Amino acid sequence: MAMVEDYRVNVTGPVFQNAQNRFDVDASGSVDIIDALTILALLQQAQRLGIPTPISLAPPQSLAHPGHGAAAILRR
Amino acid sequence: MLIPGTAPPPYYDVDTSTGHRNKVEISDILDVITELRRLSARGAGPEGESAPAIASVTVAADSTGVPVTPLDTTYASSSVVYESRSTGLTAQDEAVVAVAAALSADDFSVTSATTEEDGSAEDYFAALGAVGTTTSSSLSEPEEELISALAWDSSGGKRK
Repeated sequence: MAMVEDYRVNVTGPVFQNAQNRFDVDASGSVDIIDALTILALLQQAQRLGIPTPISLAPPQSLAHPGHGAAAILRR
Repeated sequence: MLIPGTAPPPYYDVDTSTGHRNKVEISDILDVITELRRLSARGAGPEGESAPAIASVTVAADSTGVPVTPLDTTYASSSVVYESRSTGLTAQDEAVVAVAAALSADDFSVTSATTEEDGSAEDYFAALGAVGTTTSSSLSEPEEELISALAWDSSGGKRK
């Protein structure tokens, strides 16, 4: 008698990357210059706040929840 | 548990190659620009414009004449030839130049009319015709100055 087992497979990938199109930063559905400027604006904001770059997006384990990365802090 | 791509946008982490994952940095911008150029070469760029034909971008933000090495090798190896004669450019400044270069057709003087003394970087990007809803108003003063510097004739040091 054959045994059947179920395996749960978790596909992991970059959390802070658009899974549909990695170049579509603002999730507008297309890639345009706004996507580049969006990143640029964040880097500039970090520079003004004295936050070192590159900006780390990896959340601390205790805060493993979307929106707790450095970018979220900058947005506040 | 975090699920890939489920964080709310913006999705800043474009470049997830080794050493770049979960970081926001210039390479993320450069990746977007590279993609824009690729799309443009296919005729699918912003507003269907043809591929940019950038021969060179020269920034003459000061008169020291000291070249600045592009900070990112990806950018250096791209088809955009970048020459900087400023000693004060930051990585963000270089990104601004890269964005401008990616947008411009082949002549920065086309937009110089909007970078007069009372012009702004927002005007600059708007003049390029590829930005409908611009976010360039978030540019800091150094970037504004850099954009203005693009309007200077590097050979003669005079505004075109």
